Amino acid sequence: MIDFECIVQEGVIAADLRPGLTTGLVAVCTSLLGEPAESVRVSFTEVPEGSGFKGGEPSRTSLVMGTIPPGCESQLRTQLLKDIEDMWRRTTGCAVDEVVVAATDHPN
Amino acid sequence: MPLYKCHIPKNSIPSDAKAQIAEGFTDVHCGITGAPRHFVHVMFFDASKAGSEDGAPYFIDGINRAGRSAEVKHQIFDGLKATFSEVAGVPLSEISGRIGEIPASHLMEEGVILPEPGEEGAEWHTVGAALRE
Repeated sequence: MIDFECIVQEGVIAADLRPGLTTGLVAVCTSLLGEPAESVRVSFTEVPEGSGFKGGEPSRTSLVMGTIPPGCESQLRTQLLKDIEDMWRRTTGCAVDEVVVAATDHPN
Repeated sequence: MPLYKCHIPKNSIPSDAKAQIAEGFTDVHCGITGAPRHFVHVMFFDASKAGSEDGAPYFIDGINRAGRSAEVKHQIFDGLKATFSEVAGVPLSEISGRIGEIPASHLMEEGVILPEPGEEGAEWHTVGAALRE
């Protein structure tokens, strides 16, 4: 099972972008990890306006927090992180310092 | 990273206090670890019920890069609790939480894989600097 929680700031990532982001996450995971699309779950959590901060200042950053099957080789994991970051930036138009991606091992 | 998610009772903390807590958390984390300030993420979520398993109404759910000592993690968490208590006017006994960990190699921020704690080079402090100028 692959789970991604996308934590986004209210008013920064429009709701109509979310289906494309979900499709993109599924595509990257199935392509690189060889997992079936049905095994990829994506959810969105919105940080209310005035409740998200980066460096003590109001934040525009999205955090794409994933768990993937254990045992992913280092080079593949790095490629996964990079491809997700690229997809997120292409889809949303955000800057490189406005997205954090994590892909850690799913707890057994 | 780090990320600190604060689960709080609905409408219990005004916006200006959230900003003060976020700045205070950034001071605590960076003061102890030496991390650049722009890597510190703080967010607040209204909880529909008590925010923690032990019943404390305020819960700080942190995620750091793995690799720091237990002593350092305790020092960070104690600093976060003290800051939250002071700014929000909440007794320490009503604040609970934890700091979980993710291996640095499992994280990408500002276009780079994060270094392990203690292995940051001089360039660590300039990552993304051009973007913010």
